[in-house]
Order: sequence, then C-alpha cells, then structure tokens
Amino acid sequence: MQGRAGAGLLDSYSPERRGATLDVFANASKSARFMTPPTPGWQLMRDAALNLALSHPFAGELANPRQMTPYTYAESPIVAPDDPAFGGGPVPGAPLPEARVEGGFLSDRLGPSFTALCFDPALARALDGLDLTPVLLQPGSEAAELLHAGPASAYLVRPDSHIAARWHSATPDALRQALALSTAGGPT
Amino acid sequence: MTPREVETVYEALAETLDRVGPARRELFLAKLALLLSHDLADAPRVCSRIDEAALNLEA
Repeated sequence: MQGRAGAGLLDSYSPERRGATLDVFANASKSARFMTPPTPGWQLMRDAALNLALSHPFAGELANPRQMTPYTYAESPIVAPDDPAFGGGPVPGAPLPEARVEGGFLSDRLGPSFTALCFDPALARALDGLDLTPVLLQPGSEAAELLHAGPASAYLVRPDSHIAARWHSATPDALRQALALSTAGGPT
Repeated sequence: MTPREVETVYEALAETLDRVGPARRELFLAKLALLLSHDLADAPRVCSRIDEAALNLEA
C-alpha cells in the first residue's frame, strides 16, 4: 500500500474479475463438453479434432480449455480504448507478451509499479517526473515487432503486467492521463 | 475452380470414402471439414456453408 491510487480504482476490481470468472465458467463447460460429448454430433467432432491433432496441431487447441491463458480485461473501466492506428499486437487489457530484449526478457525490464514502453528516446525522457518506469526499446526489435510498434509508439503497462493503454504515436500528456485513469479509476 | 478441378476433387473424395470404409467415413468427413475450414480461415462463411449443406437432406 503506497496511498497513490484513487478510491475509484476499487470499483474496477469487480468488473475485471467478473469478466475473468465468466471466461473460466465458459471454458469449464467447453472442457466438460469435450470430455463427455452429450450427443453423437459432439462426439464425432471431438473424435475428429483429436484424430486430426495427431497430424495438425491447430486441431489440438479444441481440446485445450485454455484455462491457464490470462484473461484480457478489455471491459474494465480502467482500461483505455484501443488506438485504431495499430495493425495488430496486444490490445489494452491483454497481458504483455514476452519478448527477448538485449540478452534478457521484456518482463525483466518492467518497473515495480507502472511501466511505459517507449521507442523514442525523447518521449522516454519527457516522462521524467511521472510515477512510472520508462523503458526504452529499439524500433524494429523483436519486442517492437511483437507490439506492432512504430518509432513513436508507447505502451503503458500495469503492475500486474496487463496493458493499460497504448498509442501508435504517443505524447507525454496522453501517458500522464492514462496513468491517472489507471490509478485513480477516472481522469484527474 | 474449373469444372475439371471440381471433378478431380469429386473423384478423390469418392475413392477415399471407399478406401476408409463405412465405419470411418463420418470421422474422415468431419476431419476434412475441420481442415478445409482452417484453410479457409473464415468462420462466418464456413457456418453459412454448414447451413447450406444441411438443406434438402431428405429430398
């Protein structure tokens, strides 16, 4: 407890985990249906998926209930809408993917609180004074490709390593506002 | 697909359906449907084809 978050943040906890819980329920019933097909149609498709998975791995995903996949908090009130300028990569609310960065891993570079992943040294410097850890990554690096980031892009990453917001062309002010939304539960 | 190509597929299916035998025909066709769907990578289109293929089965 550091006393930095606003009261509104508490109200975001339930919507985030409610979505994740419903996801777990949906996966559990999918899993049960796969283990014990209720009708001949379900059984035939189950057998087909298992048999096909011997030669084609994509079919095996049908057997994987994916309960271990982190939930994307896209509906959370403290997750920013996505920037449509991105052509792919993880959306706000999704967990930050892992990438190799200069002999280590992206996750090793995250700060103790919020982290701003930047690709422009000037932007990283402009974040001085904000309550976050700026991490400068190279444009064109593995991380940049994974994040579909251009030289002016930035990702704001939460302490739980889910993405709070991202911008294809970031400004220090946009990052400041998103940080306020993420910690206070509303713009300040 | 040209008519000739449709014919090639038709023949390959007929021969393979005979080769796999009656006990495994359904399984084979279900696998084939999953494989072709994966290639097509268009779930709404596959679902509408599923509905179309289910038409007139009693005719």
